[in-house]
Amino acid sequence: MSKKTLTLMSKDKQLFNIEEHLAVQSVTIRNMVKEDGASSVIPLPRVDSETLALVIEYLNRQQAPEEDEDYVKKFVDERGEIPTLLELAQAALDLDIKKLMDAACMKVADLIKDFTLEEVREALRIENDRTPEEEKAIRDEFQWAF
Amino acid sequence: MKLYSMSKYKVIRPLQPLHKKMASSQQPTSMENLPNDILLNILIRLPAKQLGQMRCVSKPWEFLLSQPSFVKSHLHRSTNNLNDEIFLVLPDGDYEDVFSVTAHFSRSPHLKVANFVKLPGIPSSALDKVIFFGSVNGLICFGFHTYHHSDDFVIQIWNPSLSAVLTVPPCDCIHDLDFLHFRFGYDPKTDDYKLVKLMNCSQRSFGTPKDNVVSLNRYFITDAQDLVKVEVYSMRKGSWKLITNRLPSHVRVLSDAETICTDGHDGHLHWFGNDFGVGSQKTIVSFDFGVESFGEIRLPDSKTKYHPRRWLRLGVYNGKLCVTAMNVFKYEVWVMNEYGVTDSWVKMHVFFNYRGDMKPYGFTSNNKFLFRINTRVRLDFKDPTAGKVESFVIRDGGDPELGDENCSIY
Repeated sequence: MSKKTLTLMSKDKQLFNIEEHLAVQSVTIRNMVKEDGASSVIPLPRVDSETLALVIEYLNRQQAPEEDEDYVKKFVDERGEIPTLLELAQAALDLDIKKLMDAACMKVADLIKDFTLEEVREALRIENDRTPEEEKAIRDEFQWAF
Repeated sequence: MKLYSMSKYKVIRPLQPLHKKMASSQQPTSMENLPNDILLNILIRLPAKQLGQMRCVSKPWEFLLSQPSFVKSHLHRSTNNLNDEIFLVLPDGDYEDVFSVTAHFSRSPHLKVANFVKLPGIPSSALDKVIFFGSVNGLICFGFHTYHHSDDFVIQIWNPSLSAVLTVPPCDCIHDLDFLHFRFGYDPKTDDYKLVKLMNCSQRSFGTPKDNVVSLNRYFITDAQDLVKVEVYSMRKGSWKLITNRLPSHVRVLSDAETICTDGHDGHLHWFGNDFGVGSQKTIVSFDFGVESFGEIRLPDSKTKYHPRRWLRLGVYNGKLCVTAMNVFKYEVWVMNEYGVTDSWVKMHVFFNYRGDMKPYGFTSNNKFLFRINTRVRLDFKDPTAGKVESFVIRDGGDPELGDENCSIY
């Protein structure tokens, strides 16, 4: 008897097959399978194909449960760039794969941990939406942190 | 499909998919587009000091970081994180009188404590009169006179990460600090922060100069039991409550001076109690935040006798109540394996042969022994199991200043 396979579709319309018993590590997919059997293609409109490929790789891992923690850490370590990690985190959030999301977020936190304010803005490409005066007011209030 | 409903992700801005990573070098990936779930998951892992800076990143970040729910979760996380920073309360730069030391082992043990926090909102005239009542889970409780009015004694609970200060509502009868004693702590059962106030209503002075507010908090003469009024402030309820439970009747003096902040010990406060006489016996007086009543714990038999040259310090070691007994050349650490059971005291460690005058502060949350030798600007760690000593330097400061926040109790 062949194992049941599900098909996931990325934002850019690429299709990925994955065995159902592995896919249901995602709470989102598990709920969908429970509700309607999810026989058709499952669209993931916010996950691009490269990220989805990573998620599939993660879901397909063949790890003993006691080595799983280490595996997840290593898995995100090897994809140690912030944009990749953020997309991975977002996919893991959508699919509700808590371990993967936590690991990705932890890695991002590790990467930006020693960053200064400016470095964080630059690394995450966030625009400063404050005037210098407004910024100074906060700096004064949080003097101890600078 | 529930999965993609917008309402699921409490967003600040409408959700947009992230740009593909291939394009990320040309097209900016912006975290502003990230769901708050992810942003919070990342930010909660950052040290409080950095979060203080990160408020400047953008307005949405500031909004997120100042949410009480975030601060609470961050506090909770830091408390459970053994790799955090050291926190010391140093009144007036005088390390002889460290009132409460609350510490997490530092991520980098050789750190210089470079960041000092000034207590917020205290008039400079009152700065040298600040009394620390304790510090738990990164919250710091202190009191000071405003001097605008002789009765004006202000008690505040401060959260440095949030930069929030809570002023405790004035309590009854606070006109003479000679007869007052406060301790701050946390009750894990009700997830509540509480402040205990002991007040001796007998109005007899015991020769302590009135203006020396700081020293007044170190000893509390219980005198006649009936005249001691006990009140507890609950942060959750926001109000004071009179406690009718009495201190053990033979205890005449509570001393705080030899006490490392032990407020974190599973919802109990501890003091040494003395019956105040020749050959007097020492004991431990406890206060249970849960049931709001006093109790007594016997010291190890060899430590009950009062001796002027032998100090005792209370602390917490590995989550258990401990007593550090200091002799001239050695320091014994006794641990109470089963809380409240006298027979369960065990001599856990003996430290010998430290050059000079060693002053122990207690144990960090991962059981490193924190102490100072001679100089005022040096504190040392000793990991009792590894037997190695790490040290860090404290900057000499003028005002009451605080080291890195992000702290917890031993």
